Amino acid sequence: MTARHIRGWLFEGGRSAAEPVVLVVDAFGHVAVTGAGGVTVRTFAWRDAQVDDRIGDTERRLVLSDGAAIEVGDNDAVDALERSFGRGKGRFIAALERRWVAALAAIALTILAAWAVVQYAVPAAADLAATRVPPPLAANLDVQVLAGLKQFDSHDTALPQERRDAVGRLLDHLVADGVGVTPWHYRLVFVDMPRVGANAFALPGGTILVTDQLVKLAKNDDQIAAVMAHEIGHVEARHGLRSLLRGAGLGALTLFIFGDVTSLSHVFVSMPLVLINSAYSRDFESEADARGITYLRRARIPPEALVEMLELLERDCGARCAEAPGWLSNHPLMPERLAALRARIAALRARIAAP
Amino acid sequence: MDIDQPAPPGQPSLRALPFTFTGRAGEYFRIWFVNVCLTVLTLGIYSAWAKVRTRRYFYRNTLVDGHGFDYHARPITILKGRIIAVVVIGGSYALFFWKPLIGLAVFLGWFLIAPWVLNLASRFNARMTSYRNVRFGFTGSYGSAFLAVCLWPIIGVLPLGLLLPVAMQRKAAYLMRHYRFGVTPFEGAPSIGAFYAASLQGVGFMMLVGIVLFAVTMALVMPAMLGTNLKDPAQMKLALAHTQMISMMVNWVGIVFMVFFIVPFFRAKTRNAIFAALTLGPHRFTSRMSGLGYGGLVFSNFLLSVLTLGLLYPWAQIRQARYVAERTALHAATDLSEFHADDESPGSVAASELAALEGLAIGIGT
Repeated sequence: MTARHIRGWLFEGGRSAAEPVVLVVDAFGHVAVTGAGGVTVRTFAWRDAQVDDRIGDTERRLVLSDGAAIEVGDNDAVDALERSFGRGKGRFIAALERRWVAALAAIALTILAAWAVVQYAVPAAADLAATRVPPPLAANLDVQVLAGLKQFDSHDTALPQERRDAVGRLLDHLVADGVGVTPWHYRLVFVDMPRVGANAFALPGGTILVTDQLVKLAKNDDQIAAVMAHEIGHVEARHGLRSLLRGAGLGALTLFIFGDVTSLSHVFVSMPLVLINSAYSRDFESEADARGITYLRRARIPPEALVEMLELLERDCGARCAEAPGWLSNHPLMPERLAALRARIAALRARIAAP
Repeated sequence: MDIDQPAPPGQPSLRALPFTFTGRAGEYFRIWFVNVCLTVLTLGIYSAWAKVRTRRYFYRNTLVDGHGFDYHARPITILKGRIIAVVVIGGSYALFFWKPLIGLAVFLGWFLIAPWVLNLASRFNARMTSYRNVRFGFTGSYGSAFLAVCLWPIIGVLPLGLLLPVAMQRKAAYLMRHYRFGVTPFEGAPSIGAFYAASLQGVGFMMLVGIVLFAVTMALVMPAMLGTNLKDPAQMKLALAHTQMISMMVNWVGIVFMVFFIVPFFRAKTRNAIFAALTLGPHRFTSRMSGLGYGGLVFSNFLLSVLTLGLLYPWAQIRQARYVAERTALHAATDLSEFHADDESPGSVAASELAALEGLAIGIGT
């Protein structure tokens, strides 16, 4: 191999003065740095220089042991010398970045991997974490949610004490006979929410929130029990914790990956999260329905009460329930949900009827 | 294009050295996709390497007087900083959630350490940036940073936000005066008038857009409303759903317009003011960005990136970097050979990552 000549700029350590130089590299990797008039200003061995990574076709630096730096633009020549004399690190990535095939393969792989992470890895990790949260810690969360509730349109319950006690006894009965042994400590809270209307919510730590409007809407106690059985289903399956942790997990991951990308990412990143979350909660609703009818049956309450109650709720909400259709919705579409419930109850009845 | 300016009396004449950007979309497209792919495959770990390679690509392709900038942070350092930042931010949010009182104390603590984080982060980013083999630096004191980023914003908001432009000018001035190139400090303070002018124009745009969006909403909603029998609950339900969807979408358009047009518009205007006032020894700077031009560029970049599902994002970044570089110039009094490095401490990578994640804006526009 004959001597190679590479043009560059020499900077002495910590100085901004640039001197145009030519590096003359011999067959053994010895480098003579020659300045104006071909005068050799310094020499070094190629393997002793720290050669910066190649990134695209940008000028990169050779840093010498005394802090002097040489900026060179001939990337192919530097790569060839690195192959012969260098320490050979960081070449693989640069090689990937130069090939269109690699870039296109990267696109396909990225989409696949991102889908797998969002679809499987994050939910699995979050669910695992959710099973480790002790119920008393989760109950702590409930206190906060209840405290935050005051900001919304919620008022102290107007139900008479006897009525509340009766519903409380329903819950006790449902938990004792329907659920059986449980680590959760169930607590019933009544609120008057005129704008929200008839509804019930399960908080992560076992607090069940029932609106006055729901108690008034129900035609009988079985229907109230049915709604509570559904909410108990959410608590027992740790849906509150799981969706909380899934959201937190996706948030942390996106924060980690896109931490550096400027403002553009913030808008990009938060949009899909909302959609994914609602897809999660649809599965959760069906699971809570399934669990609910099991608890009802064990507590000797006809599971049909849940279907009746859902129908009542749908008829009641009318204009208030102006919710976005299809995949934007938080609850599974009511007809689909009712059909699934009826099928499940029919199967249950068939199993009981069979010897 | 002649962007030289007459020399002030008693000073050497200045040589205009326009910034140039030599990055190419095709080349960066491949770098970006390899970055994204490896980041996803390694569950985010590679993001630190990706950050360094991306910065290096953009810095090295930004040239003045034939020499490029460079970025020197080591990926492993960035990774450690990023982990610390995520743990700290996640931890304080979790604390806020579990124990609001302690959480509140933590957020108050955040307010108090923000100036310190800003200083360390600015120092790290400056120290990791070089030009002509000389690193930049940043030396700010806690007290003046506290004034600039904690006290002034509060003072600015109090009288109906009327002093907000002053608050922003104070922050810009604080940063400008504490950056250094080697041992040579940057100097200068941008004109308050320019910040007021930019703010007024931004607010004016916002009001204009608000009126237009309101009119559009009305035009879309009214026909459906007029055809609705208000006594029929089913029809009412449909009309309300329709209204909600439309106002949600219009809201989004408003937010996107704010973030991707008004904010860049304001940035361009204030950057011009900052660079007009900035000096480095005998050298001066100019930035001649057009507010409408830059706003339009960022806005169209956003639209094109979204419409192509991110495929044109690398091209958009290159286009933006080229626009910014081509409108910036250094007016040099010498051949730039006189600068020396110093050996200041390197700042904190954790602070830099914290600042990046929390969206603390640092840097004076390079």
